[in-house]
Amino acid sequence: MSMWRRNKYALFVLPAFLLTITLFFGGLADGLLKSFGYFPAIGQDTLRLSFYQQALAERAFQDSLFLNLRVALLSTIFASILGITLALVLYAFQLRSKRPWLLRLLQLPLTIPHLAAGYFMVLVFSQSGLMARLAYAVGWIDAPAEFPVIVNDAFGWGMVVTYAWKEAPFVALLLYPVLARIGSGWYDTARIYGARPWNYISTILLPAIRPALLTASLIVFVYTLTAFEVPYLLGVTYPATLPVYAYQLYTSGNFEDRSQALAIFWLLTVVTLLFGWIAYRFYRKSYDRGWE
Amino acid sequence: MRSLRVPYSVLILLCFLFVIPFIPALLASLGGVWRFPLVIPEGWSFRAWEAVFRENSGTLSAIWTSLWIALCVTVINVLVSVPAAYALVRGNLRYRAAIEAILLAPIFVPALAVVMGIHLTFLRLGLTETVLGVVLVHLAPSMPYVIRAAMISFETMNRETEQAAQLLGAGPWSRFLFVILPHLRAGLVAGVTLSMLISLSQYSVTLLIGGGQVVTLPILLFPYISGGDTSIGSAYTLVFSAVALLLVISLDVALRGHYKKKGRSRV
Amino acid sequence: MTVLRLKEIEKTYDSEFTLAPLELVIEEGEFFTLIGPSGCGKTTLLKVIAGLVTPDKGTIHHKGQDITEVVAERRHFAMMFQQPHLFPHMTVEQNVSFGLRMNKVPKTERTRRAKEALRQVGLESFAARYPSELSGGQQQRVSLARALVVEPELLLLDEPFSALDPQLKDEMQHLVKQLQKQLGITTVCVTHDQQEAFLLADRMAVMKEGKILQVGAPHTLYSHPDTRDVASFLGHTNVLAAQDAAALIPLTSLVRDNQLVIIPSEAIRLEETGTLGVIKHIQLQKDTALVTVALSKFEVVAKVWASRASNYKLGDQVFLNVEPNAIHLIPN
Repeated sequence: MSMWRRNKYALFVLPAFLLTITLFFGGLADGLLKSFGYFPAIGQDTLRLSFYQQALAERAFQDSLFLNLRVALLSTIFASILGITLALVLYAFQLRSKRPWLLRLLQLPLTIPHLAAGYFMVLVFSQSGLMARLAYAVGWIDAPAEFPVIVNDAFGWGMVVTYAWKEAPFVALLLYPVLARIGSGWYDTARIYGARPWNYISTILLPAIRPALLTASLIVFVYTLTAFEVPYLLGVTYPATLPVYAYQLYTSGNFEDRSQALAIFWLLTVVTLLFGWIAYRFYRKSYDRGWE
Repeated sequence: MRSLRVPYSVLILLCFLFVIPFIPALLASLGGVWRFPLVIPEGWSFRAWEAVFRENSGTLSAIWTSLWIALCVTVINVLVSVPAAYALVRGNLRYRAAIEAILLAPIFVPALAVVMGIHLTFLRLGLTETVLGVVLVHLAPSMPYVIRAAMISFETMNRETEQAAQLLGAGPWSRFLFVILPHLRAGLVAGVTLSMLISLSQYSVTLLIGGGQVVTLPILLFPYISGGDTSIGSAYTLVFSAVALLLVISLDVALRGHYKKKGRSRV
Repeated sequence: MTVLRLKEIEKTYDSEFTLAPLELVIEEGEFFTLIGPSGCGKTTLLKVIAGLVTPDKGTIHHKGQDITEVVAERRHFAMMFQQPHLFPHMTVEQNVSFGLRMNKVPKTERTRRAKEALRQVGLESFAARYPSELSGGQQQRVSLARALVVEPELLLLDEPFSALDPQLKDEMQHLVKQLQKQLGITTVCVTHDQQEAFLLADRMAVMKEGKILQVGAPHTLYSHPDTRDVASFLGHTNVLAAQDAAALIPLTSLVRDNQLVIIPSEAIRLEETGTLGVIKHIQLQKDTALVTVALSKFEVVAKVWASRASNYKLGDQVFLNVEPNAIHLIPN
């Protein structure tokens, strides 16, 4: 009986498990072999580390890495700040019960695909975009070229703005349930003991959402570090972010470049798995902590 | 009860911040000529929308291809995720934590890393340039979300309800149909929605495996938004956003509506 | 000395009176209880005192100063709620010293005073733990320590014992009462539990539908209720019209027809002679029993020792006698 039970549950997991193993880990392993130069189809069946060495030695790689870290870090910071604000405002207005349409409105960016979000930002922030036109209207600039380059810029502001807009509701979505569990009892208690609204936010609300916030920002960081679509649309040719740089290498058609591309993606994967594991630990921790 | 006072101006500012990026796209898609300094276009025109929905523009077929792929991906995801989640939550499995980690790992790894690795193998198997191939590569990045949603659903489900049904004589199948499934339906909304959205928004992965032969909406619109005609690019982007938005709303109505009406939703 | 004086306090929610205009005076060092059925407005009144709810009309004076407009965080009161409301991300000690931290007390002093408060509630070894590692009773003790540590001008208790199981409840009630006396903290407590009120209160106010019906020492209220509502809320079942009561007890001519006679159930004895009645119902409790006896026109309830009640069965004829000094008259 108990043997059958255990086997039955193992059977339940099996389809999902097999799909993940073949399609995901299979792909990763396949890529790993190729990153070591293993292409038996063209007679390359020795494993070499040289592609990693080559990839790391490229000036383009270092520039890409630098750009990548900068964009991911700034995006995470802005998305987190905006997300916290959003979650706190939602909490303060208790939108869920009273104004559900407003909650939906603020979650709008969650639904919009990244490519679309990126293009919206082009229309808002490019040198002939809405902001430039407004700046002209109030007399700050006299020609499009005077408007600062925000999208398709070497610094990566266009990507940062897109990610901040797109991921802030995501951050808020992870934080809001934690806040929603806090009843008015906490606020009453804090006030009785002398807490002003700002004290309440800084000593109670922010620490309470910290584990969830860490999870959310790690996810945003990992995503912005490895995403392809937005930098492909909003970046410049050089330096490109690592995923775009790797994609360019891969599609150049040369087997050596392909191995290098896969080597770069493997490095990224190791980093993301590490961050992912940390994020998951924080997530479980915030999940397990005893709330009233 | 409002516990903390936040001025309305902050709320309005936030709303504005999240709505403003749609405005120029709307203006550009409907504007006849929109030369630089003008904040509002000169005159209106449906030129861009006519171009997008012209008979041989391929827009409608791209929308259907996108939705069809997303649907296949999601159906497979649900079919394999629900039993897996049930086993993970209730099964007392050996190596439970490891299995869970393996199933959820794709959340963090860039899909492109996996697809580049598998690309040549797919090429050999004849899966490139096919819808099946595209469906297969959309599975890995979306499945963990469905599993996670189903797991949360099972975790928040009161086991005693199931036991009560059992005591009333319900067998495993009846329990699944009448107790577990209704609860799961509401709980799965988030997972199903994410699965559809993730599949719908894939660009690089679809391009690499579909090889330009499987034309989904993002594949079709990319040339227009990367330096093409602004009006048509805007119209396409709005179509893309609208498809995503309508999808989310209709899934919400279809799956959750029943629960909302009865006010029993616990999610 | 008067610590708190409420004048003409009025509060309306959704066009319904929550608090009718009411007056209340709290004296220094006393344990004052607000008691009444749920929905009588006692918690709202406590929140008005705390500053968490602003009254529509009326004034509150604290030691002669008008504090009606002073917000909760400036009143320097302390409060225990039904739930401990400990902050889960803070250790026990951080929770206890929260009020001191808000009032910018230096860290070393905070720690010292928090330790002392924890010692008073018997939890000094739990300082470094998190609330989730504590039992419900221990959490409520931490909540008490958090209230004591700020040396509040006024301690407010909002049914803090109602969520505890019976034994813990007893323990906590004694602890609170003992510390309250020892430290001389003026305390206002809300409860719906009469036993608790009689155990703890120096004085109490019985509330109904947003009004204060009567204020006084618990036993004064019990033996001399002003109205039928107070009498029945405090557990008097034998509230009889004067002409009915005459069947049980000789009444002087001073008793007018429109008066009601209250006979405490423990003042009715079942004996060999007296007024004849028939036993209709026996409700056994741990040590006593409530025996319902039917007389010709009405029924009364007598409280007897449980051991004696076992001698009776339903339908038995008994003779009733009433302790004349225990009866109390109220206008109808």
